[in-house]
Amino acid sequence: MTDAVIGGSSDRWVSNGGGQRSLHPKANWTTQPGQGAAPDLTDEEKEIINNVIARAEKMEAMEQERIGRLVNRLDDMKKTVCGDGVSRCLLCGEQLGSPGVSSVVCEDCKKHMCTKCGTQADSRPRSVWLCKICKEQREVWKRSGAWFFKGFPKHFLPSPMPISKPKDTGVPPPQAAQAQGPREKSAQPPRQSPERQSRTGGYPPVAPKPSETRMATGGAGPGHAAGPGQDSPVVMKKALNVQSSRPQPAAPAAQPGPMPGDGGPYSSSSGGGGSLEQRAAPPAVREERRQPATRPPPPPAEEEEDANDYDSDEATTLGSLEFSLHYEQESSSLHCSILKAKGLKPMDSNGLADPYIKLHLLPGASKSTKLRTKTLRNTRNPVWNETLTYHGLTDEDMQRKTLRLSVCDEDKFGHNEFIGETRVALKKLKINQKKNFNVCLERVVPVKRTGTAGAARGIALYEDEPGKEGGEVEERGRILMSLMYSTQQNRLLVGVVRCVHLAAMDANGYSDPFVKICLKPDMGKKAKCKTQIKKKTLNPEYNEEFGYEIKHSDLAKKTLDISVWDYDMGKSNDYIGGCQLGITAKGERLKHWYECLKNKDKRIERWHTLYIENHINSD
Amino acid sequence: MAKTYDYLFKLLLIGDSGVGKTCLLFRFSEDAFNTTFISTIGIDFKIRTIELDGKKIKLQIWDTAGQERFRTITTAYYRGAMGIMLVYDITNEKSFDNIKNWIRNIEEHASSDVERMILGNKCDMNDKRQVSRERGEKLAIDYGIKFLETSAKSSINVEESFFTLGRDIMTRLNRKMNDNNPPGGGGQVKITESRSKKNNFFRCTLL
Repeated sequence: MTDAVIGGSSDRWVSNGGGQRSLHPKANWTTQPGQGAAPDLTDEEKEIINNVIARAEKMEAMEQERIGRLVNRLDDMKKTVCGDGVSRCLLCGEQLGSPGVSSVVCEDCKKHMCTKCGTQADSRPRSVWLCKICKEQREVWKRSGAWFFKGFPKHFLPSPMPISKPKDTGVPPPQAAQAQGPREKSAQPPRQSPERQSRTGGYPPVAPKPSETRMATGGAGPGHAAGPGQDSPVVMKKALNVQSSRPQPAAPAAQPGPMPGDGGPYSSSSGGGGSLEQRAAPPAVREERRQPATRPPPPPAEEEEDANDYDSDEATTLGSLEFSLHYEQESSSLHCSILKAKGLKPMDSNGLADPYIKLHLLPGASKSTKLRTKTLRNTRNPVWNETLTYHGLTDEDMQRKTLRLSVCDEDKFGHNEFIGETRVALKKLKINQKKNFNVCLERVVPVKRTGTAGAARGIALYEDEPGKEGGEVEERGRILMSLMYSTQQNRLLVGVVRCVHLAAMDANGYSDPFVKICLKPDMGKKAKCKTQIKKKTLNPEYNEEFGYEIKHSDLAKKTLDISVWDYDMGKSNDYIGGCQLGITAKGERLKHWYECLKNKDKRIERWHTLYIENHINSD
Repeated sequence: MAKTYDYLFKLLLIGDSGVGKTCLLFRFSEDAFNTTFISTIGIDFKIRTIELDGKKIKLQIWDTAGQERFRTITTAYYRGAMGIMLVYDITNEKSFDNIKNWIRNIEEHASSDVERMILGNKCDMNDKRQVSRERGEKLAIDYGIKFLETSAKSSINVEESFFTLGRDIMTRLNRKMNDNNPPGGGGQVKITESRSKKNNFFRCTLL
């Protein structure tokens, strides 16, 4: 692939696709993947690719967990076997041949069972009987993808690419790594992570056993030829990256001389299945394994002292966070620039963390004000340089609200852990002035309920601030509208820009909001317009504009009714909140309407608060 | 946590740079289209769950860079793919000619059981067409692969093509898992039916 030779015959290979290079006729098409990893890619490109791989790995881990569950369920089923499958029904143990009990043979395992315990599968070329277990077994093969990969699909994602110099190339020598700068190092240690082991090496290698031993016997496909051997007969070679060295020993250990019993399908599986269970039962078990496994044999360039005692105590500091806040009154927006954190408490067994930052405005429901940064992998000194913006913050909010910044560790299995937080009362900020912060993270500030596990893990959704909370309840959100009367078109142009902090109407803590506007009265059918539905968000951005053909002189008599709804499929939509703009409105809403009337051909944007009683008198 | 699904199918999009692989995927996964051309760096993937025959199927669709310099990386993803979309641009003759080479690439690097499909993208741009629909069909027939002309921009046949590929994989799955050896054989489930590439040649196409 490094050979971008322009040969005489390469003509037909010269692609006209812009910056593409001319290709050598064949060489390119036959290059083996995985060799000489990452030829001439820039570090930036490698990083992008590595991020994709990380994302895929996360999904892969979830998939492995799911497969683990399937296999567990199958194993549980196998334990319930009562009969011998010869004279007694394999499953229920009923005496076969006795009156009323007819016997059938399972197509897969060839055991006898009663017709009640079997199911007739119609498959070609003839319909056959399957016992429940073999039926489930087939189901597991289908669901896990084993049907395709001829074994449980292991982990065939290519490993991340080394940035500038080899570090975690997955491909042959993993030792070569280690010696790089801190960044490189941070990507290296995962290979010692027990999670990974149990994921990549853990269940999959063990899992295929039961099925393989059984299902392969007749089939004798290429994949199965290797089946009885070690753990990864068929499964993608590429998968075995750095981790492969560790799980291997585990597999045989967990699987001493196969299987008690007769080697029949059910008994046979218990060996493999059992050990699999141990690994597969996810978090709890992992937690235990973490202890012994954490201290990796050679912890070479890891100069971080307490890399492995994640559970040690709170004496370790949580780390510090650098950020800046800037409130722009003009646009009613608060820009939160998250720069970096330093020395975060290690959360993962590899002595590192996968940190991200969540922002919330307190008091208030967490989901409507939640913003978060990207997750940065394997680092205790993350540099985000990300700016997150709250739109539609009023001066009043700036007086009342507190910004909470919490640093969390993203876990591969979705159980994110709270590292520490800091809070800033927004009234401390000067309007239109950027303020820099560099603070030490704290544990959750102890408020009544924070002792609970939930709060400690950073999932406390509401914050108790007695006295203030009362006024908060009715808050339904805010909407940014633009109005302009166009004299050229003789039209009122109404723009629905965005909503923020909407009330959540769905069980998932979000809404599927859309906005309806209606110019009243006497505008007939054309009076009503609505925006698109934005799925699962409390801060939708619409940027949609609607026009009403109307004489300017008539406009004064009209009222613009704005309502925000949560779309529910099949049910009636839920009303989130609304407001009306017009001459009869008050405050900001009157002002907006009035300015629009007065300043023709000028687009005027204003934030409005949504109320559940959208009546004119509520101000 | 994660939505439940019955099957996970892994698909892959390949084809020359600029034929619209990313746009097809973007259309399919987000139902959106973007005219600016941003060359894919290496690889990317998107997820969409569809339903076929009452089964929820999670599609993990890998998008690959068409550019040659990423070839090492992208070919590494062939192995794990259950279905591969070969995409060319009907306004670009070269991209069509190269389909052959992409197919050869699949034969070299992908599982022999992989389902394939050829897509002639950008069929909304008829005025710039360089590859007739018939030639696309002919090529597909020659290889025994299904074929559709698509437009990510106008949302033509995008759903259809991914659903078709998904369905083909589903059919293969059912055939593999439900087929039994003819009587007299071992009677075991044939997990690894000894199929050869020839199988593909005789499969009917969607023409």
